[in-house]
Amino acid sequence: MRARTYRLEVEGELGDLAGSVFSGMSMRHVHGNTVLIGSVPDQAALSGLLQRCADLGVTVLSINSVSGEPRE
Amino acid sequence: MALTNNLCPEQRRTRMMPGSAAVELHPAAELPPLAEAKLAAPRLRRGMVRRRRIEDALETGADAALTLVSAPVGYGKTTAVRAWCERSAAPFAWVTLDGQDNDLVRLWTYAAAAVDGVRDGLGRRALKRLRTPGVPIEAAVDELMNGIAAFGEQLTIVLDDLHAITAQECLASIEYAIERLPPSARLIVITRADPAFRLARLRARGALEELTAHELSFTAAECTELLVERGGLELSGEQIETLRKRTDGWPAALYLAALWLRTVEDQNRAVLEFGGGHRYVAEYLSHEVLDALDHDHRAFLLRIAILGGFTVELCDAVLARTDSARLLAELVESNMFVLSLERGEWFRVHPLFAEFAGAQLASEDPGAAALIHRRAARWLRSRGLYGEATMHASAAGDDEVVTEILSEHHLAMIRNGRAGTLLRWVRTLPDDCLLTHPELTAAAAGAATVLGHLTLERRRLVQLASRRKAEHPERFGPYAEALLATVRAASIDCGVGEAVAAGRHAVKFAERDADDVLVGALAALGGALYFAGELDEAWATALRAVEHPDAARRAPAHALARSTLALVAADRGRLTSARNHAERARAVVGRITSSRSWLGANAAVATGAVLAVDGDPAGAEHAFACAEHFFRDEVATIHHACVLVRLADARCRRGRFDEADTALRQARDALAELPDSGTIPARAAECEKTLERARRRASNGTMLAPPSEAESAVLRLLTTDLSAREIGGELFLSPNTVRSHTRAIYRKLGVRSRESAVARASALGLLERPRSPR
Repeated sequence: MRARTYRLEVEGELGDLAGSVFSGMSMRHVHGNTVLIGSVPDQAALSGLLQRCADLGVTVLSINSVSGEPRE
Repeated sequence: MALTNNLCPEQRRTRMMPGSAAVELHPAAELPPLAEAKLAAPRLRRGMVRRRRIEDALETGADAALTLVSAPVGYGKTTAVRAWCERSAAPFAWVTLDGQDNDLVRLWTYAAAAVDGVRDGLGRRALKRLRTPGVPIEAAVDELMNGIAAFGEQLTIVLDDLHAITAQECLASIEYAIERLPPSARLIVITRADPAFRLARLRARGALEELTAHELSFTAAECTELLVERGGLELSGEQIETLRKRTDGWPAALYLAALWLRTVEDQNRAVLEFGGGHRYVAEYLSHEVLDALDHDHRAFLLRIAILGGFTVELCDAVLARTDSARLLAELVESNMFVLSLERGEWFRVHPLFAEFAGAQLASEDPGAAALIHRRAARWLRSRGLYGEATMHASAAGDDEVVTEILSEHHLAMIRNGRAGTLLRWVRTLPDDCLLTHPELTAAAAGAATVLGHLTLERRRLVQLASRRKAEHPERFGPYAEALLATVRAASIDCGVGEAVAAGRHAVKFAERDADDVLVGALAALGGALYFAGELDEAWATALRAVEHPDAARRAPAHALARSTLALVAADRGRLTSARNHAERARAVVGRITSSRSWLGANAAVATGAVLAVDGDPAGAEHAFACAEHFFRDEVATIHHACVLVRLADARCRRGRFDEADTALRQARDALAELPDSGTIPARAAECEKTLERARRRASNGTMLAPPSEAESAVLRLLTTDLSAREIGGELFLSPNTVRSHTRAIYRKLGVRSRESAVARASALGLLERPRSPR
């Protein structure tokens, strides 16, 4: 299985603390929400990522697979 | 607040169960130590909002068998259920689950122990069953339900943190229990994610009540109670509404807000700024609340938060201090998200708060977490809590310690149905550790074998262990030798001849120097001998395995040997014996792993072989098809090839020639990839001949007369597994009418059995019309 790049948008502006949980992903704030973009090795890692969101109580607004490398 | 304890330590200082003396003597049969922390509900704290509407909802749901309290972290799920339990005053059994409970025996041992805690003896029979090898888990669940029914009074069972349970067989066993729950009992499940139950069915029966984040969110009145009445804050209605909107009524955030506002000077401005900001509320507030603590409390809280569950003693040991009791009491008192549990001396930090505290600690003192985990691992290990010790050692990055702990316990883990757990830990280890501990590596390969679907991983592990043997033969002990050879014999990765040789080698070493793995070695050799066509020796060897005094405590080996005995007996037409062994194989598998495992697949093959001899090709086909599915893997294996041949044979007998052909072709493809497959190629060739003959016979001759329309309808249903009565039910005919149609069909087709009728009809193209809609 090849790694894919995912774009994850979550509610609210995550700070450095929450951001450190998603290390390896680029993070930026867009209209009061947070967009995380990064390479995810496989589906297990993807569900781990969503699990981290659940652990932090973060609301996931959208998740897409995006083609190409993350630009940030 | 809902509490999770992903790192919940267990405590051996518990009520030991009857018969535990014997358990201590045989670590293989050891049950997980019962933890008071796992069976304790959290204490209700002062200063919490009593949420009557939620308690009322739980009260009205009391008639439903299952109440699902499903909401994200921090919605006050645990607190609400706990408060209702106190209000209802009816007895309740509470179990807090964690990731380690993805293990049938462990899961139900805790559940039965919790029920037994309501009144001594209620769970005793279930616990006894759970300690008896070879008893399927359903039997233990049935016993537990009997115990609950005998109690007679209302009883509530609470399973907290059910989201930690992800193993399919564990969820299935809970569903099984829900279906059989006596009317006097109710189950309340607390979870962050809806479980994979067939909820629609329960819902339709009115047996399901649900409480979700929507209901659990704080209302304006509850916000006022929390912030003003209990929190002592002077806030206007507008300010309260700002806070409620900004937090979306999320209870954890509102509790944090209450703590935070107490520490700010200008509450008016703070609320205004908070309301207008976009920062993620839980993170922002956790940060603010932590910053308002004095240095000592803050440092203490940041450090204990990463421990999960803990006692005063553990805190003192880990933080090298003597005043943890006082600090904990003060943090509990000030509602700092530290909760004390009702039994024992256990505490937990709320998981959401713990997440942010952990991140804060990592940014302030990057080395602190590893040190704390390392010390916790040492403390827990010295108290025999090796599961929890492993978690902390791993979190500390101490691969050596993880390796040591696993090396001490690997056999007990495989034998107690925790092969998956063992393998998950081994995967976290670098190759260096595996190379220096070949016995652990070989055991992990054994775990991969019994679980199935992991052929490549097993081969890699076998290779690593073999490399160690080649490079440092002097450090490769007889135990590692016997274990590695056992895995090679059982897996038959390098051909049947090599497997038989490895099996003999394993038995020889085990007899001489490693008695502990003798049953496994015998079972593996028996299996390999069967594939080699040495039926007499296979029988004698497998029999030695099951008759060994340790057999009952060597469940995986026991199951494999039983499967081999069933196959040999079936090949020889000794039906009663074959059936008996196949049933025992299935029962032993049911206790330690799912039927979808490699062991389960072997037991399914044995069952299919029995049914094939017993003249039930439909049942045999079903069993083989299941086994075929369970054996399927990324690469060809001899076990898969063999079951494909058997499947082809069963399909051929049912007149399903094309499907038989497909299976046979797949078997040939697999065999082409495999070295030295023993008797399987001959079996495949024989099956091919049978298939050709059956096809020829079926297409020979003509019908006396075409079947009538009614007969055609019956004929099409003869291809199914339905009985005459069931066919009658489908077609609105009496069973007698069905039988007379069947006789007419047989006469017209010139056959004497259902199977030949289907075969002949299939060859004549009589079955090609689509089946009548059901």
